[in-house]
Amino acid sequence: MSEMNALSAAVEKGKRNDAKLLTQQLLDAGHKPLDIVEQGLVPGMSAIGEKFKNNEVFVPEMLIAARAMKECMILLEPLLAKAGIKPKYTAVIGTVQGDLHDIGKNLVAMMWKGANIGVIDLGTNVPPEKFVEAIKAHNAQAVGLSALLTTTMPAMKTTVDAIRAAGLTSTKILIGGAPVTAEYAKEIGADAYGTDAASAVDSLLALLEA
Amino acid sequence: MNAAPRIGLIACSVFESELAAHAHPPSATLRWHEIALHDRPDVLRQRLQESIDELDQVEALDAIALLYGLCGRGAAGLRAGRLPLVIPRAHDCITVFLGSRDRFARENDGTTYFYTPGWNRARRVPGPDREAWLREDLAKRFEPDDVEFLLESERVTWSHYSRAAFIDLGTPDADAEAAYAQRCADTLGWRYDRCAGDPALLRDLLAGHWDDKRFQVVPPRGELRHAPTDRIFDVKDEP
Repeated sequence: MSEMNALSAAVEKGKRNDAKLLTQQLLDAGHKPLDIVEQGLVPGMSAIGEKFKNNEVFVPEMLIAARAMKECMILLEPLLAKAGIKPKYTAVIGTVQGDLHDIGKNLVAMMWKGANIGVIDLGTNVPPEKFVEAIKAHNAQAVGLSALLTTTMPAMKTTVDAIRAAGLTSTKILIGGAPVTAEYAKEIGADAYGTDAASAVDSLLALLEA
Repeated sequence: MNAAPRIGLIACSVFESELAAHAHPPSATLRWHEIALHDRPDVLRQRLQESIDELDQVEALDAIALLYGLCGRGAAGLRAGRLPLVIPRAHDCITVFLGSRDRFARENDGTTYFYTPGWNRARRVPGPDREAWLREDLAKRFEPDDVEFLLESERVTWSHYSRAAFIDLGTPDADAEAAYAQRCADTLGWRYDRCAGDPALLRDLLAGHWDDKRFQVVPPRGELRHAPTDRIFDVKDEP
């Protein structure tokens, strides 16, 4: 197994110390930081995400895998900046008003960062006007709205309406979270729906590169 | 229909105490399902559909009632057979315990965690027993360092809450379970309230008092859908 594959496996299993060690070894061997992110870290998170989707693993496994990736990113981010790697796009993300859940939102934020997208994370319980302000302030091309509860799904519609009413008609809006469906995304005028953190990357890039 | 409809009931076991205290559905056509299947909505939907299909074969029934809410969308997509289905317009069981969506909206301020006898018995509620159970469970799968991290993540999850509310529906176990909820609140440093539940939705579901404001009736062959509005459900008719 190559060291890159070993790094993916360490992230997938949530072995953060192994993952950090492998990241350092790959850097020492001359691998580019961006390659380590894209070929080592992201495939590991995608693999565990796939198992989560299929009910083979649960939230704790996702959390420790995310921690492993996050700690590797701490090593890599300064090097990416130093190498002049600038995020290709900027996206705002947050959990909608009334909802305090952030596990899914954090996973998507991390996967977007892994795909070299600049992420402005507004946290949880974010009112519509905060999304609007942040999109404008950071010239974000996209925004991700998260909700875990069926009770807070209507806040997604309110937020989409506020973004469009503010004249941000070309901002791509992605929604996601356990109760959300593609049908609902269409109904409220969002541009796409992500079934899981890995597909949220594909969906966003497909929209931005269309 | 003048006489009360003959109802087959499919219920979540979180309602065991309350159902025994407030309604007496015939046990031959009562189907229980384990608590907390909302965590796995696809599994919940499958189990409920199996019970619906089974009760649908019972000649002496007029309708099948679901003592459930939307429950993580586990109820969305259920299909009626020859008998109509009926379900309270509720996101989850807390609306049923409190008796109405309006009351749920008033009580559910984002900082309140609700305790009931069923949830207490399942030891899923935040408190000392949950943490002990979780620690033991996680230790089977994770290294000690990961266990501590995961328990800390769990504590962060609860940090948004500041009030424990025990919903009292006058069940024989209410005093003991209220005391347990208070103990949980004390451990977590939360405010504690014992608030009166309201069995109206529970009773009316079983009595056939299904006004459209509070209940969704799915006609034969129809499909129950999630409507992301105040009504929570609507129906897709069979073409």
